[in-house]
Amino acid sequence: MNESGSVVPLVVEDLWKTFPRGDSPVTALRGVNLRVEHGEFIAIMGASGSGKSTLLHAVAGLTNVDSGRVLIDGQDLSELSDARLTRFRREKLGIVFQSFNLIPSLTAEDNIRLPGTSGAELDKHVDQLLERLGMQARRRHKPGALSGGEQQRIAIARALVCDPAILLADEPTGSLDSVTGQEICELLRQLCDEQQRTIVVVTHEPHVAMWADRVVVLRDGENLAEFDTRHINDPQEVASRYQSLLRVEAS
Amino acid sequence: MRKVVNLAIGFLREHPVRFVLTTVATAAATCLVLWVASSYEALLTTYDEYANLALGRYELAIAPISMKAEDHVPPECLEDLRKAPSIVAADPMWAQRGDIRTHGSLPVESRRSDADSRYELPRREDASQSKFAGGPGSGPDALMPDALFLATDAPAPPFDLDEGRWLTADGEASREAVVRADVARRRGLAVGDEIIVEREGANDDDEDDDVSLRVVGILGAPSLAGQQAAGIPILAPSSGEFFIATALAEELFGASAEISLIGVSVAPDVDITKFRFGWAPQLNQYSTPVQFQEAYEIEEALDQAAAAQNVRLQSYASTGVALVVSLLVIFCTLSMGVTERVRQYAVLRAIALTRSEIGLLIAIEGTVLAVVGLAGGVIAGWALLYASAAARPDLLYHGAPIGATSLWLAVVATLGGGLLASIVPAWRATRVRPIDAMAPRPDESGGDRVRWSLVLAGLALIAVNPLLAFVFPPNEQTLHIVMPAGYLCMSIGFVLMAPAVVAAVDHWCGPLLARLVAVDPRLLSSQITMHVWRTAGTAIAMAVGMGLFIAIHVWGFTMLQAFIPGEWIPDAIVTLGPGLSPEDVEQIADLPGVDSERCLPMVAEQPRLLHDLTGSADRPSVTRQDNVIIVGLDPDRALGGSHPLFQFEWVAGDLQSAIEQMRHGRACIVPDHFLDETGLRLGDTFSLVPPEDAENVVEYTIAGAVRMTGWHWQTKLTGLRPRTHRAAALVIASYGVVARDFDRDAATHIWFSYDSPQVDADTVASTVETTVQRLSAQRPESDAAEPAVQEARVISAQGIREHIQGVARRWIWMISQVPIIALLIASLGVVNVLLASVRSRRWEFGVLRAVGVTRSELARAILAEGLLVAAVACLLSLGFGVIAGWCGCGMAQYVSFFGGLHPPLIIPWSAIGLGMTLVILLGVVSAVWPAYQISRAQPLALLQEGLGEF
Repeated sequence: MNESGSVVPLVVEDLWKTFPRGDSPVTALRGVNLRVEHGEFIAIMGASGSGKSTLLHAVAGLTNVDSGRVLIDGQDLSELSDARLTRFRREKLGIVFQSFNLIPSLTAEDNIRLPGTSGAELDKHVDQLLERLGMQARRRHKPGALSGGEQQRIAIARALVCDPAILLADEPTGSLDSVTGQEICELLRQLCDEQQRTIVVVTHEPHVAMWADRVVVLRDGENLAEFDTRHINDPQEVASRYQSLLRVEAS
Repeated sequence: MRKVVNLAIGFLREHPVRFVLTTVATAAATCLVLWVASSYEALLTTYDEYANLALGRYELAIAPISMKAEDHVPPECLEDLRKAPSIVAADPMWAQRGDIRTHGSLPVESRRSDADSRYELPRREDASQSKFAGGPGSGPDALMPDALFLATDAPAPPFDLDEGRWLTADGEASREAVVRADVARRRGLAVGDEIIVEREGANDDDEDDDVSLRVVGILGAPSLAGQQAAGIPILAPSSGEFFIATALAEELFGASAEISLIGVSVAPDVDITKFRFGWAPQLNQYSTPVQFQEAYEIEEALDQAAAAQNVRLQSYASTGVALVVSLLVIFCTLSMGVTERVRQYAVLRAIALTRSEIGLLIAIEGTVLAVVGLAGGVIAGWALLYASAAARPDLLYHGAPIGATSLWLAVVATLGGGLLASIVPAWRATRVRPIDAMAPRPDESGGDRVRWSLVLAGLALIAVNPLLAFVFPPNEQTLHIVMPAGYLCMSIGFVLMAPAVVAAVDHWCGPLLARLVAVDPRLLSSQITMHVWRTAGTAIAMAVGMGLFIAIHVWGFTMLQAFIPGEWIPDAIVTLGPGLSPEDVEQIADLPGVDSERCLPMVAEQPRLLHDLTGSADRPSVTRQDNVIIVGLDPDRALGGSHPLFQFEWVAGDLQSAIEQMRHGRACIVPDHFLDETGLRLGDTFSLVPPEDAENVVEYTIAGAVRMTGWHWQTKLTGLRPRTHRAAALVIASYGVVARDFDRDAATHIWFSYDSPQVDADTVASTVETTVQRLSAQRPESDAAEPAVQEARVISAQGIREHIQGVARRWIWMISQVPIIALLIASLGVVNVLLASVRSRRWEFGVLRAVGVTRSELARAILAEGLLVAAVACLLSLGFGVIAGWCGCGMAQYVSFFGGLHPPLIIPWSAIGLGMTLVILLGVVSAVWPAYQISRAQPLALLQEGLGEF
């Protein structure tokens, strides 16, 4: 819970995760802590191998951890069975993938409906999302007929259809060109501002992290530092602050 | 649930060609089941019709509950029935089998069914045209030496008369008979013709053995012919082949009449159900409990009879084959889908579906494929049956019935196969981790390695069946466990071995084949091992059909080997009636083409064994019967000298000792299996009961045992079984001893060999037959009223061999049709797999085309891949088929009716070669379309499409 008494959407406490690799196991997370308040947009940055993707996987309940806790809306994920975790993920988390991961045999509209439970309410929500994301005209098209940006919009809509507590995005602009990537980032920002969405984005790109409220920097599986980006509009500034943090650590 | 169904439909629609091929294969499997099972339903319809008419003008029949021949209806039952006011008629009938000879004035016909004979199955055309058709025991429609007589004094016939009149009730044993219409047609009898009945128990000195009866009427009674009549377990008025007066029957069979059944007519206003209910307690109280029979009870008994059981088994067998084929084809399709959609399943697990929902998704896919196939198959099966019935009404004269049984079996085969096929793919799909949705594209460059643990386990399981067949042979009590267990273990063993076979074919045949089709070996390298279980599954689907085909051929030809007359048999035998003197036979020996040193007169009889030495009462078989055939020949000329008639392989005893013993007493030579079945040894004795002098039992000593391969058919088709259909052994003794013991004053047969391999057998036969007839006519005691020689037929051993092999080949190939159809269905699965394989490598093919590989080379590589899959199927099916056939023969020796002869293993390589050729051809043909598709595609299109794959 936070100070106002409402449940904190995401709390990560002292998370450890090691991957066995024969004689040389790799510890991806070393006691990482994270707390994301309701309506907050944070970006997790770090170099390749810093543990940022592993952290996202753990938050999404896609991988088990060795120790520590992940609390989504107050629910400790480790207490859930596989089936209950799947249902929990369906209802409470929205996941946006780097490579969109839309089902090719379903239309855009059917892809959006996937996590939801059929009914009039779902139909209405889907219509609203399509309208909001500007995809009404493409609702009956299959992913193969959509551009990258359109596919990612549909993926975002799919992630939001169940009104999740947190939207998780793993390198959401990684497969897009810079212009389209910019559009997606703007969209995420708007969702956060308009709907008070709690968004966690993993990225290594400063121009994506710029759109967040706060950047959390990981290095070698540990929390390195955080800095506020609410008032930063220049990706170069984000990049330089990120680099300086890394240099300080190195020295 | 709805979204899972939508997803399943969406996945199926992704690959329409694959969907069509799979459902067509499943539909074909359904057609197969319907085709076979509908024959069972047609048979039941036939039985239903027969049962409704079997009682004739009687509403009921009364017969002993036990159905044993020695049980009869007590006379007091008849008395009580006749006193009942509600009974209009109670006509007793006495059933007896009697030996007959017929001299019909009409030709023996082989007719298609028409309005008059609509209860009779049309005969096979070769039955009447074959030289062996008239002989005893030659097929289900053979003219047997005996017939079923029904003795009755009923004032009116039980059925309408087609011709003539009913028996007269003149109080004397008038020598007349009424014959059933189908019997009259088969034996060429008309009103006014005569039949000769051998009197039971008469002997030569006092009176005539044979009684001549005149046919006075032909009865239009229903009948079942051929295989439908096999093992009918019930006696009804329609069972009688000949109807005679009771007094005459007592004279013929030398016994007082008994009541085998009573035909009962009730008053028109009587309620049959109440009538039966009222009488039932009384019927149970007689000294021999009896029961009523109505039409439905007859029908029930027929449905349980051997013929129905056989056809039902065939229906189940075809259902099993169709289920396995459906299972494998659908399994391959689902398995390919799971492999291609690993990432999609990961995404679905990450965002929407639980494991059980993923599993349900696969099960729905499998079910949809099965249901669509079932629906298509039912429509196609019905159309096929309908067209066949229209084209060949004699073949399907009951139309094209697809009843509940056929449909249920089709449902079991397809839906059962679809659901079972879903199990492993569903399990695989549920193992996909959600985290894999985040992973980059999986690397498919490596293939599956051969797991030696699977190979060892496979070999061990394969070995179980031979162990059970030969080391721990089954008996009747354990067979129903041992056989399924053995074959199941063997099947699983071959499945486990399949990946190793795939790897072996890839390693050894791939480079060779690449050179043969002039492609770079690297194009073929590892293609079939890339997805080894997919290749294995496809090859197994083909191997089911081909394996069964090979097993049937190995089993059939190995079992057949024991019945093909061996080289020990002389070239030809002459059947005589009534017989020739040994002096006259010497004239036959001087005829051109006949080896004079190897032409001997022979006497033959078929006496009963005094004791059931072979255990036939427990389990009859071709080597376990209660009688033997004994033939008498000159032992010196038959066995000894420089040109003996027989050249045996001796198993016990020796030639000289046996001849010496046979010269001077009741010594004989027996077949080797006779010692095995009886437990007798060299020097032991056994007793025989002469049929015409039962009180004077004779005892013979075993002087030797030899291999007499094929004596069964040699005796079956040559009149050497004058008494009954089966015999336990062919026993050879001295001519004089046998003639004396069994009261034979003339040679019944002549056995001879040709004087050179180049003789024209037909010319020799014609000369011999003419000479025999001339000699018979010259006999001073020839009687104009009775022909001197009823028949003189020369039958060559080679002719018998060709006949048996021809009939056997036809039967074996007929039974092989189901496996061949299964193979053809499975080849649709091969097309599916190759299409998927090609699809998954589109990018790779694009690169190859871009760097200079030609269209032709790519196409040839894909054709070669199809050939490799077929090669895997060939190896698996050869191994399975040979071992399955070998083990089947092994087990059959201890439990089958045709066992006990222990023939050597025969592998019919020519038939197997044809089958393998078909498999290879199908493998190549299956690859044609995928090869064509890829060869026509542009390199850029391949590159772009391949990259876009999710």
